[in-house]
Amino acid sequence: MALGPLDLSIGEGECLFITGPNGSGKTTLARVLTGVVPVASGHIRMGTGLDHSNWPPGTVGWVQQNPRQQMVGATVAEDIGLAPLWLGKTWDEAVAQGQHSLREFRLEPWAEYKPSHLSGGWQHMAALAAVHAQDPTLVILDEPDAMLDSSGLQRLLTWVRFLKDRRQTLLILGHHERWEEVADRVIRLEAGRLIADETTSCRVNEEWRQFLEGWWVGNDKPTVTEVMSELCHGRLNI
Amino acid sequence: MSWQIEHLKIPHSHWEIESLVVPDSGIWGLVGHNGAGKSQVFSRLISWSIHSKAARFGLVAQNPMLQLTEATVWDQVTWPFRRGRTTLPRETYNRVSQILEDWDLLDLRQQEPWQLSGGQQRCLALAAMECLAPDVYLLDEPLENLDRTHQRVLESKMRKWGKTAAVIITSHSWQWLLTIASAGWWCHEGLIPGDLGDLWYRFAGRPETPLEDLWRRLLDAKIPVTPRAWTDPAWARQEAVKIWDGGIIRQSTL
Repeated sequence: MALGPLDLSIGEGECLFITGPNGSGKTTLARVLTGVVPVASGHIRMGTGLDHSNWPPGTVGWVQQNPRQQMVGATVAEDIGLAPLWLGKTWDEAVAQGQHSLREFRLEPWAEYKPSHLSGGWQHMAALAAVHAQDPTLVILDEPDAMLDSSGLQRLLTWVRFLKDRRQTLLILGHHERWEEVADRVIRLEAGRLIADETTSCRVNEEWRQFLEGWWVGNDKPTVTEVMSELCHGRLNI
Repeated sequence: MSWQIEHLKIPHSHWEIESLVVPDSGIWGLVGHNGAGKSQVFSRLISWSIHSKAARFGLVAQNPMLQLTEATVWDQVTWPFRRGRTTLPRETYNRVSQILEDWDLLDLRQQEPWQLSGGQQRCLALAAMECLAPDVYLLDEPLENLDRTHQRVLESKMRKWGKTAAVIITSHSWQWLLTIASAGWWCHEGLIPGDLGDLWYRFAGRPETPLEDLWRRLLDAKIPVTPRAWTDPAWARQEAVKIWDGGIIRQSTL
């Protein structure tokens, strides 16, 4: 897949949703940023001007579209603990970090399983936990919601909000509109080119979101009757 | 003709399907939490179909790259028809070309499958399966990696396939399942058959949208709404107006 020419600036702590049709270059962009695919020309630089080839190990944490490809540990627990170990943590620190990640993603029952014996959804969860344990500067999530059931999705969304609160730089690649509400910017690619770069604040129907989110989350709940009244009179734009 | 399968042992999950009737047509959902054993049910069904020779079951796996074995896109979809021939019969050639065109893969026919994007790989696996025209399509999370355009292609194809073959799909998107399939099974240490709307109400996890949550609360309160109406805002509004005008919602204690 040919990508670019592409000029893209990502602010520290920004959350970008990168979307586009199949084959538009989303995953290729992730591969370029992680160094798996070399750039033919041009530069990728971090804030201080540090060139891509000199980024310290562990700068980028990447959850791939097919997470099985990135799992190298003999067990799920080992796989999750490997990154901190490689990045210079002591054995005890790596184990502690791994255990914390296992708990965060509710993977304890699967800790001693071979990664290949997990279902697709749990493999995805284990890959997210491994990146969490790695604690990278830039997190890239390639279709992170794929194959997740509703509770897995909630854990993912909670983690993404946690990363956002920590001002961790985050690139989410995918198709689902849910990420447009989470991200600060939406980048649209087509045939390897950037065709749109939108901030998200103006695209959400604030009235609808605030009204129902308040009710949904449980703060100042309007009653179902009130919501139905709004709904049937067409005042809620769904 | 439908297929009756009995005592299907599911490895790793340590449970058994005592009896399963695979229908001969229509679109059916196989739903369950992560790790429930849905993919294993599919792999056991494939194994059963190979050994019993009763029907041709075709699987598009969760990770389609695992089943893309040929050197080019064209080879991937034509190898079952070549049988030592260098050229395909005209009718087969036209049919395969049309299928590749439908999935936007005709221009990529000389590409190596591993060079395709994740979405294109899934399209290729689906196209290869369509070329074989099995009696039963087993599609494991077919929606994943597909953009909107190809999701619509998939839906239209599934509706077409479902007229003459059974199409069984797994997905975690209840919204999508409820718009495309009428019935199916909930997978949890066995298979519970049922209407998908009922299975959603009984087993779905935390609602993903406020409207889904609203519908669950209405059903909890025994308000007579159609369980799957929340999947379509226009349908939901229509039902809302009906029960509002009928005074049902005002009389409730909600």
